[in-house]
Amino acid sequence: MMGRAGSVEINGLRKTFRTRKRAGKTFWKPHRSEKLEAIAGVDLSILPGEFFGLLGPNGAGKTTIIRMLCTLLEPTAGEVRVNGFDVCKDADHVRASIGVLLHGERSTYWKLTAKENLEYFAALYHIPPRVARSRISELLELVELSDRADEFVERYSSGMKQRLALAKALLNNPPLLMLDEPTVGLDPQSARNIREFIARQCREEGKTVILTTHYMEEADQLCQRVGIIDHGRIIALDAPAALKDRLHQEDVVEVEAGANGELAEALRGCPGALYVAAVAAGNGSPTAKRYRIHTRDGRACLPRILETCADLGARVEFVRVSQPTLEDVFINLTGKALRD
Amino acid sequence: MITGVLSVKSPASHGRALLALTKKGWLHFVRYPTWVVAMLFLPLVFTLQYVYVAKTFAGPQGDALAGFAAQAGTADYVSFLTIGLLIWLHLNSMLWDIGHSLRMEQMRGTLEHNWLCPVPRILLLIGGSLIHVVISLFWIALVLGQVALLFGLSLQGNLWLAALIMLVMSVAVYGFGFCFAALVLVHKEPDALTNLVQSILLVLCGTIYPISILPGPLQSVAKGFPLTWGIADLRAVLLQGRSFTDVSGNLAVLAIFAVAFPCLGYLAFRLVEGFVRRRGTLSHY
Repeated sequence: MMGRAGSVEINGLRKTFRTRKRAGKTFWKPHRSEKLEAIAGVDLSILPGEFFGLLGPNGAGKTTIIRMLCTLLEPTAGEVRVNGFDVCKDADHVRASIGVLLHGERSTYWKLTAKENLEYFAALYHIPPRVARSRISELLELVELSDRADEFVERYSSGMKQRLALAKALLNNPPLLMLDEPTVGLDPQSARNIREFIARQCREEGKTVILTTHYMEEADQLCQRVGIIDHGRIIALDAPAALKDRLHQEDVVEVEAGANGELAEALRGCPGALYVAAVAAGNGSPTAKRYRIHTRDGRACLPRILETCADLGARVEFVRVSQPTLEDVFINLTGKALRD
Repeated sequence: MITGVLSVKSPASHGRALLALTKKGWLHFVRYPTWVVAMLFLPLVFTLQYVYVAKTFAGPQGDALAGFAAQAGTADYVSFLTIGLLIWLHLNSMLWDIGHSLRMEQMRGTLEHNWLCPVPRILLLIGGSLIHVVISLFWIALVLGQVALLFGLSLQGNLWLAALIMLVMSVAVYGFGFCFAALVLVHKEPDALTNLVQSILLVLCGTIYPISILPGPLQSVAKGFPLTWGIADLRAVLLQGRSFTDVSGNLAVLAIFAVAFPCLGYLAFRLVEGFVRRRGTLSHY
């Protein structure tokens, strides 16, 4: 009995961890225990066939939620039903009916071949041997690893390992896929291939996908609905377009300029500047920072912004007036950037 | 196109899962050639060091063996030591390999991915270590052959009875193995503890001498380990030709261990697993 295949119902979900911190001087009691509320009351409903994204900075609680949904972590409070099964009472049914991609590269055995890996996990998912054989060749074809199926995984690139991890997650043909940062650490080409593959799977096979990411473009491109999470709470929940529409009266002026401790504060003082967030420069330069300045009218503000940079001696490398992104929604809601 | 969830649970599918776990262990074993080389020679070298020490004490014609024979019930020290050491090595393997296979999964980063599969935990625990038990049985046969060639072995008695004793003892030791696996889930690094307990077992369980030479309190402690009873029974059967009736009392004690330890061990493991799931530290290492 599958219950509501592909659905997720979360009510009043909380997770509190006990963390140990160095207390300092005493040898016999070097640590002290503290409570950390990682998930502070989440209510969420995901419909069958929906592509849902959890977007937030590192440490916001995205992975904690996924780990509770896939039964690896026990909630402190609240009720979670996945595919109609309670994650605490029917954990085995939940596991049999989901596919999970967690820290992808390390999710398979490197000393085994791709085929051996999939055969192994097929047996652990109770897939009958004849079905497993055809499913494995179908998936290897799908993730374009057929011609290297008999090579040890240790010889694969990161992108190939991630594709194999995706094939593993799809082995039991689950109605619900949970993907935790599926493109993290991949080169742009591999990341794009993975995104296209996931989108195709959801579209063609009607699978529900829950994706966690801190890449706003990824969430924007793939997800029908996005939950923006910060400090263990969902602070906004809607379609990406609707979330950005909340900022419809705003432009964003992006400026990349030489790092200057006073620049962010000075930009905040510019007439018309609503929010200013400073993030690492896109080109990875240690001497430059990227500032996103929310304004009512970007073009009108631009001369004053450039003047402020010039006054502080910050050399401007790049400037652009653009429409708000999901990152701007996050900045608007929290006052900080996703990658702060 | 395939539709619907493909998992179909049955007793046969559990058997296939156990086989898959064993095959994975075997593939990892043979793909690290140094493990294979070590397996072929280490048990023999380990046994030989004790045999040669005993040979030194026995004297060229075995003149000094009377004292040993009085304590051990046999003057055949080569067979006495070989049985004790091989059983110790084999049961060590059973005892630690459940925890060590968990540890290896933690180090590889694959533990959580096994835990995400809809298979009973006990299957993951047993399946992860089963190949090492099989390899260890191969050791025993290999070293027995090697020692027989080098020194001559005079094993007598009922081999089926010896196999029964081994089986009951092994089940009991597996129970300890679950407890050790629970420790690995919480404390992660098992090597220091492994070395300590291995040495304690070597000293206490009559592996290289009869426990009658230990001080009284230590003898009492030694009787708390199934290994002590098993080694004594196997020597009685294989070296002195004792019958089932002769060893039935000791075998009954082993049977109690074989029921109690796995139940307690598995209970401890499940409690710790729940604790680790609440703490979120399953994958920590």
